[in-house]
Amino acid sequence: MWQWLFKLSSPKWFYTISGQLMPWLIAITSILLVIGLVWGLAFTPPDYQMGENYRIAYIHVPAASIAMGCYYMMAGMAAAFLIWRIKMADMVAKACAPVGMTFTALALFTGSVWGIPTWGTWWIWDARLTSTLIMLFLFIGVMALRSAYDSEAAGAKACAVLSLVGVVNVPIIKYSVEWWNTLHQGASSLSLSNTSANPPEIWLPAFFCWLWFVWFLSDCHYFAYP
Amino acid sequence: MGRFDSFSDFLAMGGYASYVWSAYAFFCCHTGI
Repeated sequence: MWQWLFKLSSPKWFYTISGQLMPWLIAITSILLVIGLVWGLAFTPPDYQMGENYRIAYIHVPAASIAMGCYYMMAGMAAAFLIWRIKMADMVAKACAPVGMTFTALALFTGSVWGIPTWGTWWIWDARLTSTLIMLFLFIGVMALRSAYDSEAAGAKACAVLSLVGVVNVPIIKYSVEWWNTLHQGASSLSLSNTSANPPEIWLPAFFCWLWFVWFLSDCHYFAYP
Repeated sequence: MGRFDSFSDFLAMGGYASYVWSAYAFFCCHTGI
């Protein structure tokens, strides 16, 4: 296990492995994309309150989850870079920023579109939306900070510090709906029972979309390397 | 078509077409599909 992880930190070995995996990842990505989106758009029943508008959730929820996961990954890699000086960790952290920014922007946009008919407004400065917007600025800030340095090593170190400082915002996003009174609803409870408010036929397509986003993340990592 | 009676119903999305399809269009453009 440790030997495998040690090998993974070698850019040369990583490029070889990711190059071999890429055709399979693209194939699995395509299949999951078709299953998740077709199922979510056409075969799940309408929500009893939101009607068909809730189908936006099949891209909104996975995008928000992956955006937060992306920040955790960026911060984890930043810590690994600062502590052990692993070059590969900095490369992964560098790749996380644009991918995370993309998914955060996607979550904010789809949430706003969903909010117009549901809440009657596309934006409100509540804790969930504001903390997510801060995460978007953090991703942009990390990218801007790296490009602002002439020295690659100094830029990497500054970005790692900023990533670690900003990671405190991610649990705030997650628990904001519990800590404060927000317009954004709390997390839905998923159930395997067909008689619950969220039966498997409702959330399973989102799970497929989430898997698809994971593979997309892997693709982006590969393509983001210089 | 699936849960919808016809393809035009599917496109109409129960009156939420502009919201649903603009979200999916942004998703496609943003992720480069």
